[in-house]
Amino acid sequence: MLDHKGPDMTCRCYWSPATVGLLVCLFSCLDGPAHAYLDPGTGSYLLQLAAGVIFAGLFALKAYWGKLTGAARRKAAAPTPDETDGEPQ
Amino acid sequence: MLDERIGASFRDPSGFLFQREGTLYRQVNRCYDADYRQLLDSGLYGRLVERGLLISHQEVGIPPAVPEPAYLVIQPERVAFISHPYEWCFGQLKDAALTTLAIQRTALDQGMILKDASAYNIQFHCGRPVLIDTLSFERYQEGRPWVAYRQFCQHFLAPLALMAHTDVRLSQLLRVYLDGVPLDLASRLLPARTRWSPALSFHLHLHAKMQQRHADRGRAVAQTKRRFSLAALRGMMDSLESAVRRLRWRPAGTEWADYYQDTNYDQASFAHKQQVVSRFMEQVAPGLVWDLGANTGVFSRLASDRGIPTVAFDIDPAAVERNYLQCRRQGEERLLPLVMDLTNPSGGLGWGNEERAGLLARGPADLALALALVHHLAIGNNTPLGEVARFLHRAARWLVIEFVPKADSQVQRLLASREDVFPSYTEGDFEREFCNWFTIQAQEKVAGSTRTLYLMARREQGP
Repeated sequence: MLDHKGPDMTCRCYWSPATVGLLVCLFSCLDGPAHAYLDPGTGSYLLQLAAGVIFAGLFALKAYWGKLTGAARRKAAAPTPDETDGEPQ
Repeated sequence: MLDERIGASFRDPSGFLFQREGTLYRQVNRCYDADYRQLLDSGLYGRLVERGLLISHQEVGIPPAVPEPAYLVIQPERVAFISHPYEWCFGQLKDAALTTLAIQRTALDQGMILKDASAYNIQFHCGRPVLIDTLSFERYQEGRPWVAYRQFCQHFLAPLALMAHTDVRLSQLLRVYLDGVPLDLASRLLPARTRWSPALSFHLHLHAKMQQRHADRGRAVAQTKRRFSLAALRGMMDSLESAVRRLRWRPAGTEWADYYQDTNYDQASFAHKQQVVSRFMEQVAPGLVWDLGANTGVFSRLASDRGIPTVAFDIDPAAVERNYLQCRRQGEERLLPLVMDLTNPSGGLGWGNEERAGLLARGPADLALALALVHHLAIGNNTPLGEVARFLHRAARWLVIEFVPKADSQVQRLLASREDVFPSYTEGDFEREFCNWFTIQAQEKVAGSTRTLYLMARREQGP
């Protein structure tokens, strides 16, 4: 976050709760490291948010499928009791 | 000390590149110090360098170029030749895209994320695409969408889709649009069948529509409370990778794709030409070679196989693609194939015409090979021999050049459908014009042909 050290000023201002709330919203949504210099593009930003649930679901499905197939592969590769008998000592 | 700022390095407040006494440095600014430490302390830097995905660097204790905001100065490993995305063939751009996504995945594993996804951050180093911008990483904050998503789609996915589905020559749109192909333009140029691909439909077509609809609605971002989870981000990365991997282009059907099947050299002549070129090259012992009109790189490899960094330029995207695929298959580290029209080479582009250096500004090479090239420039492009010599004088300090006379069948082919308005295209005229710019060090006729090979050294000044 860039430091903005302007002149020291004292002013009498009144901030309504709605104004404060909007400012908090603005800064919390747009806050980030000052060196995130790229303009993400509003449409690109909102598209990601809109599809977030779908992408998260697809990722979860892929992870689950990976676990299933991994377990099946491990089971197929595991030696049966007959294969372990008679191993050289 | 006189520091020279690098023309392309000015947008990111995290730092910038500069040159001092011929050495390249990167100043890291204080506003980036926490992310830089995270990059190193998390092990991300080490992992990426070990896998050949990120250029290595050393911290150096030299005064920064601009002291006030500086944190430290690093010296990155130097890339032999800087190339631009509009000079890459399809395979190179695809590999650069996949490298960017692989880097992003690895970064997320270490709690970091790429804050940009520019194709200009990737360079080909020792034959492989590598990220050269060490300051591209920031600490990951879960809940925020990827800030570089638009840039990735414009720099990589859109041009790749256009090359694969519409025409491979559309990579040249990247010369006009330095921040990548606008998604609405890509959407219009892509065939309708691409809308049946869920990934292209989402990341390009729908993405374009969303951009247009929300162009003036910044407040919508400020007011939304939605979050974009890490799982969603990883899912989106998978989708982008899948979209890129499915894009394919077969290098055939272009004018020069099968050149070496169609020359008029017999085996003995060809072997003799290779011997002479090799001998001339050994005489010069160059540190960097440019092969102009390289086709699939047969003669380029006479240099690169000797460990000499070599750039192989050709106008034909299919020839460059074949060359690149061979480089990749064989793990070649010293050869960089690039698409280049020598009658219209890349010029200075971007901010101040200095952001992306033109071809000649990135030279001169120690040695240029101009084999079976002069007749294309002089007759195919109506360029006077004196102008060809002047161009090559700027391109390289030494020249191995082949003069192809009118009697040769390749020249006859060029003249077949047009009037011969080239009375000054003779070997005598060639030598006279080139001697204004070069001195002839050696010459030898190619056995079994009418062609002559010359070794020339650049004069300090022309006429």
